Amino acid sequence: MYIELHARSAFSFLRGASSPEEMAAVAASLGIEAMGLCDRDGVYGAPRFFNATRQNAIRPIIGAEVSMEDGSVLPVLVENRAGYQNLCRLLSRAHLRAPKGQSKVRWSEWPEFAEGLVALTGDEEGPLVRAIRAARVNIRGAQKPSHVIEQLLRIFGRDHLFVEIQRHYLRGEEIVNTTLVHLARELALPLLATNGVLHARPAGRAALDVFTCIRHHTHLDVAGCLLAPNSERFLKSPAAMAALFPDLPHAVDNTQRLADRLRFNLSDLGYEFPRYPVAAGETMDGALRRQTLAGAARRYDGSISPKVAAQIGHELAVIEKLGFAGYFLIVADLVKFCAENNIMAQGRGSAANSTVCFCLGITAVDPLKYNTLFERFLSEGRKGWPDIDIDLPSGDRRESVIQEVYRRYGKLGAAMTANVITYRGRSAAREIGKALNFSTDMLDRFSNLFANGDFPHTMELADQMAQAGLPQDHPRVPAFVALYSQIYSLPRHLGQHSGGMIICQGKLDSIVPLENASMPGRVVAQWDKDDCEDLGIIKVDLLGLGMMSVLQDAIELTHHRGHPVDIAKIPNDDTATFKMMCEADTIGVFQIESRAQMATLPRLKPACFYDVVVEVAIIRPGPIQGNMVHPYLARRAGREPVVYYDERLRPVLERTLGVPLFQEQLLQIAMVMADFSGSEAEELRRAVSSYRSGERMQKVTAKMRANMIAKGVPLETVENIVQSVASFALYGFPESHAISFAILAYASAWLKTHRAPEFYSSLLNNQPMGFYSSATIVRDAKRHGVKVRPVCAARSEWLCVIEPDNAIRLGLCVVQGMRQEHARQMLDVRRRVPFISMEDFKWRCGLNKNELRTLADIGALNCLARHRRDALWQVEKDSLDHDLFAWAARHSHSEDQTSPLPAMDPAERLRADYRGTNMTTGPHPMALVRSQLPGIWTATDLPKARNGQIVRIAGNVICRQRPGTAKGFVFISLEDETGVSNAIVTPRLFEKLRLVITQEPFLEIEGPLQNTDNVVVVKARRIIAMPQTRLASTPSHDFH
Amino acid sequence: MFAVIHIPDFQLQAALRLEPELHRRPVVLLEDTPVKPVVFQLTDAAREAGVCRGQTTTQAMARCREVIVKTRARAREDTVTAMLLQCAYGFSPAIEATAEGVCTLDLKGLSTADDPEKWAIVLLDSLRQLQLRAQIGVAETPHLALLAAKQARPFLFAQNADFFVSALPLEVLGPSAAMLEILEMWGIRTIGAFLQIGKENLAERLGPEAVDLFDSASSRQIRPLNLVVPAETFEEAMDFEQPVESLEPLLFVLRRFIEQLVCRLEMFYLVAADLQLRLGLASGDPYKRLFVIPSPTRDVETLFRMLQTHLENVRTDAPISSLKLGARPGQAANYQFGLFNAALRDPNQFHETLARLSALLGTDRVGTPHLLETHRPDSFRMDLEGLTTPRDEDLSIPQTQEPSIGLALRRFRPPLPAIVEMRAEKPSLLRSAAFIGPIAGVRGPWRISGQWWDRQAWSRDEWDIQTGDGGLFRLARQEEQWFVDGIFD
Repeated sequence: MYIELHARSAFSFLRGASSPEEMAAVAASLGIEAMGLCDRDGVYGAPRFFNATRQNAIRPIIGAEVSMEDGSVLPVLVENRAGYQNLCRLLSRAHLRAPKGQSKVRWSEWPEFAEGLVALTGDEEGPLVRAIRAARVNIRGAQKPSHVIEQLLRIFGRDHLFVEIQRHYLRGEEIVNTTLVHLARELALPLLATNGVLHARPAGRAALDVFTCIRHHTHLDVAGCLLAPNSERFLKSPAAMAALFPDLPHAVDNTQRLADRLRFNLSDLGYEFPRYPVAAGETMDGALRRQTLAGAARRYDGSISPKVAAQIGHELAVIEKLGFAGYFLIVADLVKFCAENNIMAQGRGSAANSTVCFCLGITAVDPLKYNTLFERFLSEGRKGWPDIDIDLPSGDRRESVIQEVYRRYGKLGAAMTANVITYRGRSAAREIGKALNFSTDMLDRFSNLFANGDFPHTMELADQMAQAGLPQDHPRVPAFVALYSQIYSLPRHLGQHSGGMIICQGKLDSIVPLENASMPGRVVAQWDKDDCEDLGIIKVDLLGLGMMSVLQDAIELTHHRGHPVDIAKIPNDDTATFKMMCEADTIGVFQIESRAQMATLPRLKPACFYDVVVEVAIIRPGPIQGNMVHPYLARRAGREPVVYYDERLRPVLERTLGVPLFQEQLLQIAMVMADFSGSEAEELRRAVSSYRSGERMQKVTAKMRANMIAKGVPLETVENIVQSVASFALYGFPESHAISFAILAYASAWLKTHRAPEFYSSLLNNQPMGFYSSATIVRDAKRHGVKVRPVCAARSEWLCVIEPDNAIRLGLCVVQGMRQEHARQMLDVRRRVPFISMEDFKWRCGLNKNELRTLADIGALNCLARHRRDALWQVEKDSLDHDLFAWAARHSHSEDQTSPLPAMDPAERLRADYRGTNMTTGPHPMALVRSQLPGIWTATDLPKARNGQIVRIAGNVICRQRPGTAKGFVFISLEDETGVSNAIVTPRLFEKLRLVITQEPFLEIEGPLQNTDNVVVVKARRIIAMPQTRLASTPSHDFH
Repeated sequence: MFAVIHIPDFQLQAALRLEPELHRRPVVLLEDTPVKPVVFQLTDAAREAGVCRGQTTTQAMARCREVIVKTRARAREDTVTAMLLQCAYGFSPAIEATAEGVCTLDLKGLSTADDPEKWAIVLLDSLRQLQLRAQIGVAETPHLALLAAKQARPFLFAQNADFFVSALPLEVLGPSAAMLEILEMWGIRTIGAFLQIGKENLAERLGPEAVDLFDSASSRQIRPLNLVVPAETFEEAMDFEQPVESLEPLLFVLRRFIEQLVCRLEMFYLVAADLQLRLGLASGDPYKRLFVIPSPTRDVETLFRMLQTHLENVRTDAPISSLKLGARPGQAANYQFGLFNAALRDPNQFHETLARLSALLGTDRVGTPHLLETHRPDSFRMDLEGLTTPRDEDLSIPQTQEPSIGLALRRFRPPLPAIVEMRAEKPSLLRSAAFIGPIAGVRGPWRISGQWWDRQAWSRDEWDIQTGDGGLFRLARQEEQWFVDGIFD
């Protein structure tokens, strides 16, 4: 029986062309009982391979190809846990001392790490074959083959070294193989047949050749001998391999013998979560109980009701039984660190279902208040660790928490989880196109036309290429189309996850190899968060949220300005806040500022906090795909009766009017209707959460369907329920998560309503974030009566600040090209002695000419000059020498200040503002051309138009959206001097005018007006670029 | 008095010279930079459709769906520059290649001063025959003449220098982008406004560049011209945006090339002594051919037929991406051929023979073979360039190549077609001109394949066989055809 023991997957990053899943599936179909995966310099694909082999009932063998210092590549296979840990540690050491992607292991390091590993002599890149080939061409200084094999023998020992032999039908390989056979015979070493698999099926060779081109920065026409000579490096059946080695049957038999020895698998990682240090005599469970009760006393003002006490008791019992106390304590400690360092932190995700988490301060939601399901977070049937995600203010504050984790557990004890970047529409098309030697211009056009091309298109790939300028009958189009589907979703490179961290009690580098991230000071593991979760490695998500920064900044400002706000005590029934939401006046508000949210708010008409929770959850691909938005809104408006799939579901679905909106409800539906147990519900949760596996979802829904049918549930109801469950497979929101987000949404809306200056200035200081640009936020602030003043060299700070009269003064941070250290230096100087003249400013400020020019151009030096051009005139003149007269000039307003230049007119000022700050505090660009636009409706007048009336709107495009769930419809927001108007574009019109819509900064749109439930939208029939081409504009935030 | 010929949108005109009908359509010209090329010049039609300079292709296409996108063609620009100078030289012996698309002529001693407009119209006509749309300015100084040429529609005689200059836009002085940006911030848009600021103020604030601009705008000094004599090479070149795969479009362009070359030769009363054809192939390889013209001529039909006859027999490995045609000027034949001269002693004649051989045998069969670095056995290209000067390194074996061992293989050229019977997926019986009978022993297959990405995809299995009589052969199967590739000695 043959076992393939040397295969590289696409997780060798451009050195293999098939996913581990495909490898496992093909191996199983060929009747191979076990298979070894040796990815280059890592075990990147091992978890997926492990999962796939389990599903395909074959045995996984883990290994790696290790790049050596002399350029050779040594494949090793893991025999036992010690071997695995040695491999991980060795790879971590090599990776952590080298730049990304250039790890090299030293031969001298092997003796320390060889235990538990079996070495193969390798393929054509292996040290032995290289030595044989070098000896044949008499390369000076090359090691003799016998020396190489003796060196390997010394490191690994006779029992742990196999002479690897491969046959790929290549002329000349038998000469090398004969030498290998002789050497093996001479030293009494076993031969091992492998196929050095690089792709699962023969067709994978094409993708491999493309990857080779990408790796060598070349294209297929000139790659020549870099490409594979044939397609033989695919997975071959035992019979085919036996036929390849009729003269060496023992080489094939040895694969089975060796495979039988390699019993290690990833379920035996030996991972242990760090223990929380507790006082002598106290257990971790005891410490958790103590801290929880202390927290409960604080949270419930000292009066813990029996219900709360019972819930805490229940949760602690489950936590104790599952042995998770240490985890809770460590996360609580991290949250405590945040509190001590004035960093806002809030747990999100299912942790918000836990009263213990609430009491420990990890989450801000009291689950008992909302009757959320603790079992969604933790249950006795649950395998693996619970999921606690912590939202932190993005930027430096989050980084300090991450660095604190590294500090506590060491660089080898904690790491960020990886983020596997895969080939997607644009990247796949671009790289394949490059390899096929398509013109750069054509590829650029393709990229521009189909930016973010991952959403379902209304066009075939070949048509897309034709639009980009590649004729459909081009001889390489068939290859392009075939390669596109082959390469799509294969890994491209490894990034780091935005916030997922894993930590380990022992050394994390024994569990998974660690690498340097491209960001300094960060270490990243070779597995992504799903891999870690699958293997039971605990993860703490430290996610950066721009809105957390905004809230923290805004609240600090309210304290400084004498009307402090405590976010925990904001009244949650504020009429003004809800009114603003109902009017969809939510630019800048967390989660409910998007175009789709704004279109829903006037229909949903939030009137209490729970409505905000629903609003957050309802505009998600899950509910949208499940056709649940409209039923909910219609029922809420009384246009549709509230009905249930089944009367038994009334308690579960009553609060959402019979429409399932949250994951918890789905779990409860499964428990009520399909009699799912806790662990079955847990399996459903994992299937729902794991967007990666459609198969997992199919399995669990099939089980649901079978159970319901067996229970006698009518077929139609069964199908309705299954459909609603399946639609959550993409992005269903857990209710607790929605509540956590709704807290932030409500808080930000409340601040916008009641502390507008603080809110807007914090929002501006944390740009870029959210949907809208600074220019839009400034205009929104002005619409709400907040004065926004331009940058001023005498008054502005680095950040935007609030002046005593409640006006926002823009900070120097908004100035294009202004370096922070220069600005800070200028501010220091100004604090010591204010500037008294332009000469004085130029002399002391330390800014360079470009910065001075920009400040003058945007009017920031008007405090020292008559007008902007006066300032421009003066900044161009070099400062006077350091003498007595110069001193006098600096301290007087000399006549030289006046310039012969005319003052800017309004249009010039506007252009200067956009040139220097991408925004203006003056009139909107549309205001300047309004007189040239007869018949165009302003945004504020639009609601006055009749439903169905043909209208024309025009403005700066601030947002283009083409949600994946909108079946190709595109939403465009146009901003004019009065506000924002919205238009909807059909897929057909979009394809016709794709370039006009995606490229033009100002558009004029004509079509019938639709006004339902105060949601006003123009259904575009005609779209043209506005001819006023010199209008200043801000870039749109595009999601198409 | 000086005249300046200014070819507006020089690069665009160069790119469209052989397709003059495109001037009426929306066409944009991109810079030939590899990264994010933007619109560099554009036709009026494109401008009217809303396309602007500096836009990306996609932005231009957004404004005008029908826009034709061209990339700057340096080869054609060189040709146009040569043409411009050659044409100008016919009107004044003192000419200067001032800048791309700008030629200054010293009119001293010429009778043009009487009626410069009439003179200019003749010059414009000559340029029009060369498919060039020019503007001509005449003034007292070269610099003023240049400014006048930039404003001319198509002719301008700048008599009142100060008045003329002050209304001109600043851009005509050719300031750097940074300088223009500052002056734009200042609200300075005309030369008059610029001069009003004063030299001292400008020097203090904007440095030497502004002073130079000031001087060039205000000075009435006559700078000496850097005189040139136009090269006596007559070339036309074109880079195809889409590689050409058939003869027809190539001949279409070649005819225009010949017409233009003849037109230019005519200006100098010269004829073509030979034609040099150079085709750039998409694969990167060049194809070159020299046509010596036994009886030098500028008859368009004769020259065209010569090229056509040759090209009809040419098969290139890859589509043609560029084309260059040069004419070596000579005097019209007015000598007697010798009766007993050996034709081949003349190298030009040798090339003509090669051209004939190529026509007979195919272009891929004449020249020096060069091995290609690919897995495909016997892959090579024929290079005519190496025919006369073989390079030493081509003959040496690379150091790292493994030495061949074993028996020598004597190749059949071409390989012998064969019929092979297979048994248990191995050759068992061979019928060919080399051997007929059962196969006693086999080794193989050796399997190679490549170029799967287009129509030239190939795959090949090779077997080494021993026949019953002890003969050793190499068999190959390619595209379902069997061949005996060679015999082992």
